[in-house]
Order: sequence, then structure tokens, then C-alpha cells
Amino acid sequence: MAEEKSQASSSKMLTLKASDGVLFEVELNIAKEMKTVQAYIDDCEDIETIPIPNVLGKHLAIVIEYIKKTNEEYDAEFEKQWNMDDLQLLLLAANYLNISGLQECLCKAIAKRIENKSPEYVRKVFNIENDHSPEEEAKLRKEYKWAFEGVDKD
Amino acid sequence: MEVPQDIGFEIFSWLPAKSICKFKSTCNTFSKFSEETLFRKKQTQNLFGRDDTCLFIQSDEVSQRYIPKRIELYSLPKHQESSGAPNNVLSFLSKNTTSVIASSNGLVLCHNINDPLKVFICNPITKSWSFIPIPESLQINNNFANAKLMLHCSLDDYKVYFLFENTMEWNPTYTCSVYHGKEGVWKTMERCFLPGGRDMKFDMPVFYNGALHFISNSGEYYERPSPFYKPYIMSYNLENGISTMFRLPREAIRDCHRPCNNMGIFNWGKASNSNGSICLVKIRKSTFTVWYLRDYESCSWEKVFKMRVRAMGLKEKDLDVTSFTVVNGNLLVFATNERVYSCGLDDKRFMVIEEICQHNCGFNPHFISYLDTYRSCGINAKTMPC
Repeated sequence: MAEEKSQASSSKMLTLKASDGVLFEVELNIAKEMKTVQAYIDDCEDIETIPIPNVLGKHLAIVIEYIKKTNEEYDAEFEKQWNMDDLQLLLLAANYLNISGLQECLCKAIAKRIENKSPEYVRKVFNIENDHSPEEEAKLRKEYKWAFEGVDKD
Repeated sequence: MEVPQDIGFEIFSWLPAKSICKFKSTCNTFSKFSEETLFRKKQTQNLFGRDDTCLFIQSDEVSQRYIPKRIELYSLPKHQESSGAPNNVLSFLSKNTTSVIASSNGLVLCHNINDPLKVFICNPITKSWSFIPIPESLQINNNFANAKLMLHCSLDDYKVYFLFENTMEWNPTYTCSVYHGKEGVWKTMERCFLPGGRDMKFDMPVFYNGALHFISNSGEYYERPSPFYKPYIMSYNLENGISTMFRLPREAIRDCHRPCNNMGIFNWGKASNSNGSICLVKIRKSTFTVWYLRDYESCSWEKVFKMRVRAMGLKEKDLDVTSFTVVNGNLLVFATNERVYSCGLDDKRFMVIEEICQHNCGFNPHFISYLDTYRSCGINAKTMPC
């Protein structure tokens, strides 16, 4: 009985349910790349549908495709298709699902896109408040004046 | 959409140091990232093996002694905005008659021109430096003023190689002592480096395949059938200390005894993938030719580039090329009397010429490429007084 089960497990299918209700049928070995899902399976063996409450169907589809296709070439071209908002949402998804390869790929991509921009742009992109006092900010800008040479227009 | 702090931390650890410094004024949390040891370690590791983005340009050391000039740092093409180092650190180094010898993964190896025992590793971003302690025994037996220095960084350690000439022989040999940055210990190689009959160009070492490689000078010092009749490459295996001669491409050494001949060897391609190798650059009669070592074992070379300087569309009339180097294994950088240019050697930017800067470093400027990281200078690291 145990043998049969392990033979079948490689082609066993699992259903992932995105936050907007979209369902995805994936092979077990694909789902296992998402460590969060793996933990879910470990906890409740007989589960067939796993809820992914934080990720939209659109992004879950992209994540699943990444896991299936990832290699050096694919990764290099992967990030070029998405805008900054999608990249961030994909990164949050990869973070929640705990997929280290995809997290790294997306962090690198976002870093590349912001590296020449201004601090104002970065605040907008990450939706953060400037909690420096005006004196602190002036001090930082003076101390790191050299770092502001050659900044992209937003 | 708000990004959790740990994700911001991750993203920032992929940025070059200049961008991280710029984004300190974004918010309080981000400004504190670079103070954490874990962040610095991550950023150093993430940027390990990435292309260098800047170029140190200095006069040659002899000129520096008499007419000290500022050490300049310029960005390489396509990296103007994201790369750099603080000006006050460069000024500090310049004022103290420092010569930049080598750089790797954000660490810079320097020595004081007037006091050769003052050798140090520094990081201009973290403003820290670490002087290499030189034991008395080494000082007594060796001439540090003539020592040849090289730097090699691995992911978690750095080594500084010192080659000391043993002048008692007719053909000089070199003792190699190595300082290991992580442990702070010195080890001397059992076997000396035997460069053969010619002088080696120690200012362009190539680390490859576990060995140091140097190209010899050219010039008419020998006659046939001496093995040193033609110029050659000599490698020094850093494991077992064996010296091995490599021949140069026939076309390159055909006319090597004539003057106005200038050759150099550099790393080619990326060390990380299997395309890494060694390249030979020759300039003669204002034409650059580049070969790369296609097969190391059989020593077979393949020509990959040939271009007349006159065909490059440069600004000045006087096209006397003085010094050159290959950066990141794919970019030829060279100087005329007034300016420094780059020329792409790989598929993406093959034969694309760009101006890097004007320079006033005289006849024979030295180039050292650099990437800004938060890498630690190791033990004995102190804050630079600038």
C-alpha cells in the first residue's frame, strides 16, 4: 500500500486556489517548490485544495510558470515583461509562498530598476513616508552629496 | 502597496553602494540598513563577480613621486549614474602619496609611494582601512621597495601576494609570500617563481586556473636558439609553485624585436562561466589586435579583434596610444595623451567606442577597475581619518 502511494505521488495533482477564486491544478513536485505549500501538505496530508489567500490568480499563474521554466536564460528575460507594480506583487507572492529562486530574481530586478532613481521615486514606489526631520535629511544629502551625482529624472 | 522591511532589506542588498548611500535620505529605516553587519555581508556577496563599474586612473608611480596628482575615479560607460566613491576619500588618498595597486569586490589595495612598508587594504565606501602587518623577518630578508604586489579576493577571504626578487642569480627568481586577510597570517611558497630570462610585466597579473600569469617584455636580448628569444607568458601555479611557459600567438611575436611594440595580457570573459580565459592585446603601428586563449592545455590562441585607432573616430588629432587594459573581460580601455576611451570586445558592444574622460595623468596612466561594495577590510580594520 505504501509503495503504491509513493509511486503515484510524483504525478499526483494538487489544486491551488488564488485569492480571487481562480483554481490552478499543479503537479506535486511543482507545488513543493513553494515551501509554504509544502508546509501545508506536511501538516495535512490528504489535502487536495490549498487556499493561497494573498495572491491573485494573475500572479499565481506567473509564479507557477516560473517554477516550471526557470533556468539562467529564462530568468534573465523573465523580469522584462512586468511593470514595477507587478514586480512588487510577484515579490510579495514569492515571499509568502517562500520560493527563494524567484525571490532573488525579483529582488535583483527591482534593484536594477531603482538604482539610478531619486529617493523621492523610491518612496513613491515602496509607498513609504519620509520620516526624517528636515535637518536629518539635509545632513544626509550633504554627507552623501557624491552619491547624488547623475540621478535619473523620475 | 507597502513593502515589508525585510523585503526592502533584500532589495537594497542587490544595489551598488552609491545607490544605497543615495537612498539613505528616503526614510529612517532604509538609512540604517548599511550599518548592519549582516546587510554589508549580503551586499558584498550579492555583488561578488559582478562587472566593475568604475575606473581608477593615476599617473605611473615614478611620476607620482615627483608630481603628485590626484587619484581620479571615473565611471565606465553605462554606469555613470549608479557607481562611484566619496570624493573626500579620494582626496585623502591622493594627499598621502598613495598608489592604488589593485581592486576586487570593493576592496582596494594601496601602498604609500614613499614608505613601501605601508601597505593597506581599504574600502572607500565604509571609509575603513587595514594595514598589512609586515613581520620583521620578512622585512630583513626582502626589499619591499621593489616588491610586486597582487590582490585576489574569494567570496569570504582575500590574499595579497608579494613577489620579492632574489638577485643572486643571473636570471632572477622571485620568492612569493602571501598574506591571508581573514586569518591575518603570512605563508611563503616553497617554490620560487622562475620567470626565465626576460623581465616580466608585473603590473598586469592575470589570475586564472589556479595560477598567476605574467607576460614578458619584448626586445632583442637573446639570440636563437635561446628559449627566451621570443617573448612569452610565464605562469606560477599558486598551489604547487611550478612555473610554466606559455607561447604567444605566432602572429603576435613575428615582429616583436622591433621597437614600438606593446603587449599585455588580461582576464578574458567571465571567470564564473566556462568562457573565462586569458586574452592578449597588442598595439603596433596604431592598430589593436586581440587574441584569446581558446585552449589552455594546448596553448592555442584565436584572434578575435583587430582595429586601427584611426578608424575609431576619436576626437584628437594626435592618436598616440599610451597605455591600455581590458576591464571585466570584455572592454578594452586605452588612453591617448588627452583622453581615455573604451572599446567593446564582446558581442553586445563589439567595436563600440565611448569616451570615458579627459585625463592629465601624463604619459603612462594606470587603470584599475573598481566596484563599490560594503565589503569588510578584515581584521585590524580601522576608520580612515577623512
